[in-house]
Formats: sequence, C-alpha cells, structure tokens
Amino acid sequence: MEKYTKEYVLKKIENCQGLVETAISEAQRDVYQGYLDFWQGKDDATAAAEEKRIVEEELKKLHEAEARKKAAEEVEKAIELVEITPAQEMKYAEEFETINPNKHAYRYLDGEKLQTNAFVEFITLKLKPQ
Amino acid sequence: MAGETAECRMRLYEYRDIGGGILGDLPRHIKAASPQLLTLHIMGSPDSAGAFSEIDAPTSVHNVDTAVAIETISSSGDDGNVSAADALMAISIIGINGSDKMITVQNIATSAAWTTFQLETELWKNIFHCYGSLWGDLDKDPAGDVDVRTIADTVIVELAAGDNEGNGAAFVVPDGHVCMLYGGHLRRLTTTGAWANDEGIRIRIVYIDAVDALIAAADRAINWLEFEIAGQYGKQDLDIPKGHVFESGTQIIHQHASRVDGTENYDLTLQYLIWKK
Repeated sequence: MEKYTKEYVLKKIENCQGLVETAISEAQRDVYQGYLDFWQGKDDATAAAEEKRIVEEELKKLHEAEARKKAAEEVEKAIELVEITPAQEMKYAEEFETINPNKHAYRYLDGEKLQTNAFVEFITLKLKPQ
Repeated sequence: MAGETAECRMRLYEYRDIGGGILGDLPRHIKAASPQLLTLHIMGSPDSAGAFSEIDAPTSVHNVDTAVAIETISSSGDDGNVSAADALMAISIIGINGSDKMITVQNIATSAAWTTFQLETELWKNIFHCYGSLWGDLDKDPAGDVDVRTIADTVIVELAAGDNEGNGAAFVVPDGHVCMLYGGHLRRLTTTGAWANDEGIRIRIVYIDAVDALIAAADRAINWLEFEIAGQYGKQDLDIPKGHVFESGTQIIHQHASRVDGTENYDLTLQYLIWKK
C-alpha cells in the first residue's frame, strides 16, 4: 500500500467533498463521488493500519512482559532447587564482605542471625544459571 | 540523440493570433469558423530498426466523457509562487475542456512551496501536453518534477526537473469539431558519418476514429499516413501535404521507426487546423 499521511488523505477527502457538492451534473457528481470513495477507502486503510500497529505494539509489550516474568520465575525456581550448604554460605559471606568492605553479610534481629538483603542478592546472582 | 528519444513542443494558437499569416489561403467558410491551429515540433530518434513506437507519449491518457478537475504538484519546494525565491511558477496545459473546446490554460502556483498539491479550477475531458510558462528569479526551469495529475494521483503529463517542455504528442479532435492536417515538414538529420543506402526514417500519423475507439483495440480499423525518407542519394527532407481531414472524436497519435540504423534523427513539424462544424 502506498504511504499517505493522515493530513494528505484528509485534504483529498475535503477537496472531493467540495467537488461533489459543487458538481454541475449527475455524471460529474458520480465521478467525484468515485474519487471521494477512493480517498475515504485510503483513510479507512490508513486508520486500520494505525490501529493494527497499535495492537501489534501492545501485544509485543505484553509478550515481552510475559517472557520477562517467565524468565524470573525460572531463575527463582532454579535457586530454590539449589541447596546451599553452611560451608558454601560461609564462603559466599567472606567473598561478599571482601568485595563490599562496608557491607555485612548478616544482621542481628532480636538475637537472630539473618542474611542482609545485599547478601541475598549476591547469593542469588551467584546461583543464577548463566 | 540516439536510441528511443523524442521531444515534442505542442502549442495551440487561436485564429486571432495567426489568421492573417499562414492561413491566408484558407477557404472563406473555414475562416468564418475561426479555426485554431495546433502545432507540433518534434525532434526525435527511434530505436534501432524496430517496430513503430509512439513519439513522446503522455504518462497516461486522460480521455473521459465527463470533464473533471485535475491537480498540479511539484516534487520541489523551490517551485512556487514567490517570484523572488522560486523557480517554476506556472504550468500550461493543452487539452479539451468541459465545453468540448481545445484550450490552453496556465495553472499558476498558489503557495510558496508547490509540494502541496493544488486543485485547479478548469475541468478537462482530455489533456495532451504541458509546458512551463512562468518563472521566478531562482531559475528559469522547474526545480522539481511538476506533475499534472488526476485527483486519484495518476500522473497525466509531467515537466521533468530542469525541462520546460512536458511530454505528450497525441491529441483528440474535440466533439463537434473537425480537424485538417495543415502541412508540415520532415527533415532527416544525422549526428555522425554518412547514411547507408538501406537506412531511413519512418513517421506515421496514426488516427483512430471515434467509432473504432468504442470497440476492442484488436478490432479497431487503425489507419495512418506514412512518411519516409530513406537512402543516401535522395532528398533528405519532405513536405507534409495539407488536406487530410479527421472526424470529430478521432484520436491522433504520432509514431516513428528506423529502417536499419539506431542513430537516425529527424526534425518534424506538423500543423493541424481545428474548427467547429
């Protein structure tokens, strides 16, 4: 399909409507009506193409979001499947605190030893399949 | 020129412009009808030894029963209505209007950049030819391709960028009119060397009657007047005779062909008188 801008087609339609209104005979009106139908068809085609483009973009966004969600779920599942031994955790904690000297791998809450969020992220990245 | 090329300069003159000149020997009853004179000056070169081909054909044939409006547009914003800053400012069209009269109309650009198409007021049944007819200070020929086209964007005739003469060498005798071939001249030209004896140039004035135009192309009784200059010893120019009359509604097309050589060149002038029956 040829590329027409919306403004171009609308000007054509406007001109054709003027010609249909001022036609001096039935035969001439028929010819101009033919031109009008032609450009209204282009307008519909332009509008339909625009609508199709918007729907396709939305679908693409939706598919991308679904793909991202699925990938994240797979990573989480993979992490859950991997059991970390206390020795591995200790090794990761040392590595984490070496890389990030101003961060701690653990924090204490009411006497309970908990992993810090940064350390959890670190382990998650370590366990994430490449 | 060599190979398939042709340029036609078509002009339409009213009786008031030429009545006292070349039309002096016309019978009084034709003079009384104030005939118009359509002149064609063709410089051409047919393709090598092939079939006849149409000379400088229009981009598309605009031949409709009901006269309709047309549009003009340029591919360059440097054509427009600013005399100090634009190149082409007007394009003239030769054709037949809604009153079955052969006319020339000058279409003047109405915006600074003619890239916005412009709906013209004259209504046309046929359009034969176009040429540049008004220029600004920027240049004395079109900056872009300037098209005469239908409202559905079908180009009918066109001025190519840098060329003030558009295409189109065919025409139709308007309804209620009669047309007479009013002479002309054909000269054979060459650019290099000498002609061989078997070489030559061939021109046809093909005419298709209105009645033939109604039936399938294959069934038409197409006739033509043929003119030929050949060989190396004879005269290399000939006069086109006056007098052949074409009926109202007849379509007249000009064709050329070469006998042998692809580098045949010619210069052809034709004059047609048109008057109301």
